[in-house]
Amino acid sequence: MSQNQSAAGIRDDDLAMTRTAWPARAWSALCSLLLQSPSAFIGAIILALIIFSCFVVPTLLGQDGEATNLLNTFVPPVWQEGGSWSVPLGTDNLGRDVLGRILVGGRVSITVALCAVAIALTVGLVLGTLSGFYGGWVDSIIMRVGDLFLAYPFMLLTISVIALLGPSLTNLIIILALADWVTYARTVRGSVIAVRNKDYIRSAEAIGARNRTIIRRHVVPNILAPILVLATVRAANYIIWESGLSFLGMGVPPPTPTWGIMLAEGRNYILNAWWLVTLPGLAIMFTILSVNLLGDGLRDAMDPRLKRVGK
Amino acid sequence: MHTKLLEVTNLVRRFELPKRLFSKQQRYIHAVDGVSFSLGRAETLGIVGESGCGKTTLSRAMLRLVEPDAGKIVFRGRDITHLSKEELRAERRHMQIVFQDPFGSFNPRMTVRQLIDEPLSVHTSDDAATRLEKVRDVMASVGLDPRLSERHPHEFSGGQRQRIGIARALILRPDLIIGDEPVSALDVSIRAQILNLMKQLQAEFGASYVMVSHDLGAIRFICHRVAVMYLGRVVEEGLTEDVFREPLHPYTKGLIDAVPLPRLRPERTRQLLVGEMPSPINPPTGCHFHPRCPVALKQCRTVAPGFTDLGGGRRVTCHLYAPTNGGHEPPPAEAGAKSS
Repeated sequence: MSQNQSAAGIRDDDLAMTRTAWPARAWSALCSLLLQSPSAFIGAIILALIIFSCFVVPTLLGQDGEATNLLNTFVPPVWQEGGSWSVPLGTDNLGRDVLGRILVGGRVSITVALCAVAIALTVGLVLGTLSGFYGGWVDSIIMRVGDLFLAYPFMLLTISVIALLGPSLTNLIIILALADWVTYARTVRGSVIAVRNKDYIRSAEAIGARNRTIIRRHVVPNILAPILVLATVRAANYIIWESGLSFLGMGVPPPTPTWGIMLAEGRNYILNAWWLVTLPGLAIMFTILSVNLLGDGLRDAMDPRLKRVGK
Repeated sequence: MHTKLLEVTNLVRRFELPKRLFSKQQRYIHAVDGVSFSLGRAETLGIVGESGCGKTTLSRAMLRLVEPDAGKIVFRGRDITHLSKEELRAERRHMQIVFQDPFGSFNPRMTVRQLIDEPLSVHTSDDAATRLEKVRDVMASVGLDPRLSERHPHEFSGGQRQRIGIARALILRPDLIIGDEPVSALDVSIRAQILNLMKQLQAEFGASYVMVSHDLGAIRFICHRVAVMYLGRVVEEGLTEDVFREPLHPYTKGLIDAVPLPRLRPERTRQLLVGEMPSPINPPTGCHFHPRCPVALKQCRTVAPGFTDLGGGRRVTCHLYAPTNGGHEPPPAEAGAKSS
């Protein structure tokens, strides 16, 4: 390698880049992306904290958020008069620890949001890309099926799926993905059509690249930014939808705590126990905020034109 | 062994217009309307014409980037008009194109190394190190610093980007490179550099060029032969020097006279073109040029002129030069031009 270095200026890391296995490369790429954008960095930190507290902390403390204590109901948070450090964020109408329930409840909300985004995004990306790239009858079929899904009311879809399969976490994810893949597919299709007519696609065709290579190397990377932002906005939506469906009893069945169920139950006592709705609400807000920050930041960091010149 | 690299015969490409309500008639735009030419090895053919005359469509159609509706394309002795997608894909390594817009023709997410490497990764099975070596070589030969290979195209100036485009076209050592207005988007000073570079690379690698341009200066500088297009048809073809010294077709005369000369008193009267190019949806009958032609004859309105071969590779589509109209005699064009 050293003789190359002098001759054509080849550096070892040039070749190393092509040699490393892709997971390692993807990881280092992700890290450098996060470092480029402060908002993505902050979002990622908050989100990591939230995920850690929801998935790890309750297990460490032996909390499941379901233990009741009827002798100790409506204890206010610790900073209010009558609060106690044993239940820092107070207790609810059945004497359950609000902090524990928020942490455990986050598991469902976050799982639902991430899984629904992953499924809907994948389906939408694949179908939308095919639709936009090939056009013609492929486009017509995919988009008409999409219209069918759009025309079907969300509540009706939910009720029919729940009636058919019963309420559960998996079914909730399926419903959200079914209801929302069209949003991605349509956005992707629009972006693909815009990119398809760019000169660099012509140029790749002129070189003789296969369609699947063109899609993989030229189309998808250039439509990812708006889709990523869309995904983070929708992820936030799913947390709210999950809350709404749980509120209506069509989400995850009790006694498993979720943020939505906590809101639903807490609203009865909103006048004399404000913390029952406010605190889960804040949890939802911070999660959504961090996801949005992350998405926005990633979009900017992924655009090479916005990259700072030099090192 | 064929001496000709590329032979295009009667190429037609038309675009369908949306149908009018209640109208059964399908209307077309004939962007390329029966064009024939041939190109030898290590030769440069220029295609000139006003905007909208079909020269870009022609350049794409002869690579089958847009599918021609009729005609025949023989490339390297092989008829590529009806090749299947896969066969055509393999053939593409011998024909490359340099685009006009050095800003839009690169994927903004790829680095220069990836961009120039793309033809290699599509057509060869070389390993990464060999390909990197080749990319650096070709970057050096088009005058780009190989150390810039990890930069993105937006970090380069227009001229440098066009060098990237040329490097990308050149890396597979193709037989044919089509330049679709390759220097029109560049500053005049950069233009000369790029044209010189292309000339020098042709001497080095022996590729044939088809240069599509409206820039007569560039064409005159780089092309051996030139074909003049008007409304989808070739009106005149010949060696560059002949065509520029003594243009025959009234349209060519108008084009060449339209080039501004840095002289106080032009030594000859200019015959500037008047009017706009007519719509290609409803082209004029007969000779397409007759409504703007200063020397139009009666039959120009009704009969489309055929090619008249004047020898020496010189061909012209004009009734003035048709054998029935006085053969190769000097036409009464000069008189007509002076009196008007």
